[in-house]
Amino acid sequence: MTFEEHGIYLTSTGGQEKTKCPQCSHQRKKGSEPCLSVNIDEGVWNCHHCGWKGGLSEKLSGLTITKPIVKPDEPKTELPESVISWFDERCISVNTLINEGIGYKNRWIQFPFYKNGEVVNVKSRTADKKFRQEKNAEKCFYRIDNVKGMETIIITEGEMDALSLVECGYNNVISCPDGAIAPGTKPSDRKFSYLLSAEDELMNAKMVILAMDDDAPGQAMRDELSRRIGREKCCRVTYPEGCKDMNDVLVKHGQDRVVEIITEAHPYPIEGVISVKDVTEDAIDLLLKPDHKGLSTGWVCLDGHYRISPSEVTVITGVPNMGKSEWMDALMINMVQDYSWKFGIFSAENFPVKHHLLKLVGKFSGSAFWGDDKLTEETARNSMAVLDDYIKFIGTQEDSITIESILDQARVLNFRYGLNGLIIDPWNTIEHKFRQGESETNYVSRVLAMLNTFAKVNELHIWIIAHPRKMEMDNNRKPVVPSGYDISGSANWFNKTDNVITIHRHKDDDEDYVGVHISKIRFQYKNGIPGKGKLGYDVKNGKYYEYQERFKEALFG
Amino acid sequence: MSKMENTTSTKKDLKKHYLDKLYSTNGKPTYDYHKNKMRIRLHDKFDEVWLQYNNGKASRKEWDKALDNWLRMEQI
Repeated sequence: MTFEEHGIYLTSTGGQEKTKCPQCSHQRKKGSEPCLSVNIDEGVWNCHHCGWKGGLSEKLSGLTITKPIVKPDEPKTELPESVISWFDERCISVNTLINEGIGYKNRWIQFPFYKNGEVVNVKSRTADKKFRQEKNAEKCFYRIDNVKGMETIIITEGEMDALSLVECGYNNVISCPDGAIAPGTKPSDRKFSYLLSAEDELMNAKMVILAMDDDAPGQAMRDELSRRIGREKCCRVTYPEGCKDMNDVLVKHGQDRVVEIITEAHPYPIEGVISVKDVTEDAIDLLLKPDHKGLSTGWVCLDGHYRISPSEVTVITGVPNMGKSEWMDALMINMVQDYSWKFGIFSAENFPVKHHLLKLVGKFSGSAFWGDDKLTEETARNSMAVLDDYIKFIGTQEDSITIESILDQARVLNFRYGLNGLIIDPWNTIEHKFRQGESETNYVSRVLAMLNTFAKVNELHIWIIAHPRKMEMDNNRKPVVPSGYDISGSANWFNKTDNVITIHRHKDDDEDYVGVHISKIRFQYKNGIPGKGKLGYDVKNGKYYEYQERFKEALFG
Repeated sequence: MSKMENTTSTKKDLKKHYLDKLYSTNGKPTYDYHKNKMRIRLHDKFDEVWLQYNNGKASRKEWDKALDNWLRMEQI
């Protein structure tokens, strides 16, 4: 028996549908309410109003009787004038109808499914979009015989779209027998069993153009088909505004536009992969932007080597007591004063915070914060009142702080105040939670990936201060300048960060300066090329300034 | 008192408040590049907020804060 024989009329041929109940709807006050849920794939139904339930398949003691596949008769192709006219309104010519063997019987238009030259199924529809298929017939693509040996195959959602393409001269078109799937539903293998009918053709095709309807079910169908066929060879089409399927395009814009759409079919995006086309406009914006350089650190000697851009991670290293944290603080104050950047700072080595704050005030005001000529209370209070808007200390309450808890707090700060920078100083004071069996190298790699993502998603710059391994001494018994590869833990410190800086104090009889060694800059076109800058350090106020070469008497004899 | 007079009166108060604060501030001259840059920016910001306040797009609290920030920076 069919659904129609039970009085159940459906508009789709698969999935779940709600319709009027033949048992109770005609007696109800709300007669038009679709109270009968029908699972078309399973052939069962249930009325939520009167409780009428049933199914098409006969089940005996839990065993389903498998019905033999039935081969339907070939439809009669004598079409009444009204049907020809109906197709004509949809720009499908009589020639196409004859060539495709379209039939008509008792107000049902019939689309025969040929496979190896034989009709294996007939799908019927009425003018008001009621559909049905032959019971127990074989499920296969519509027009499957026409794509044998084809390198390019076009798949449409319905027969009318397939006929529209045939009308435009495309023969390599097939159509899904059951239409689209409801978005959000898990498509069953049974629902896609017809894919097997074209397994060889789809596997051997070099390109499959998915021309589904431009609506949610069509997109769900397209996603699932592309997933199964292989996204690397799937292309999708873009319809003009106001058109939802290929027949719409044919009716509203004509055959040339249909051909154009198929010609312009573009590759199906692969998850996580961005094509040039996807980012062209963003890149052009960047090109046309008058100033796309990173921001100056505030020290002219570093402008050619290190500039600061959002969405990046910089690692700062250096032998202990060379001034890594001091330089980082000075850089932060410069960014606050020059660009109003807002910072979240985790600085375990500077706890308690009051000491750290005083050091920052010294740098901010340019006045000494200790000694006889230290800054006044008024200056300190004014400095703190201004700094309050720009600097937030994080991780001050916890006994042990992890990278996750720092990022959680930074996320909240970013939401409330809009952070531009996050400083983690230093790496070795964080509690590191290794996963089971995870090596230090893998852990560092994972955390840096996490920080990179955080920086990119939140468009802020992250600085991490990390100590190097124990460094050897040079000939003068002074520690050599460590590089990014000398950072304790993993080579990923150099490989997976955007910029790597070493702070090293060079002191001998002739000169005394802080060397800022930039050994890696990922985006050199905007942030400078690796090199070295020299800075002087004022121990009273903690500020760094451009280094002036010392007067050398030797030059003048 | 009409609504217009009331508005004028408030603006007069605002100007007086601004001038009083300005005269009571002992600005320090500085040659520090970064501090000067921040002073100029905070001054510009205050001008911007005052305009917004006049157009009803900023509150008195925001106006006060912008003025305080700028004048504090002048004193550092």
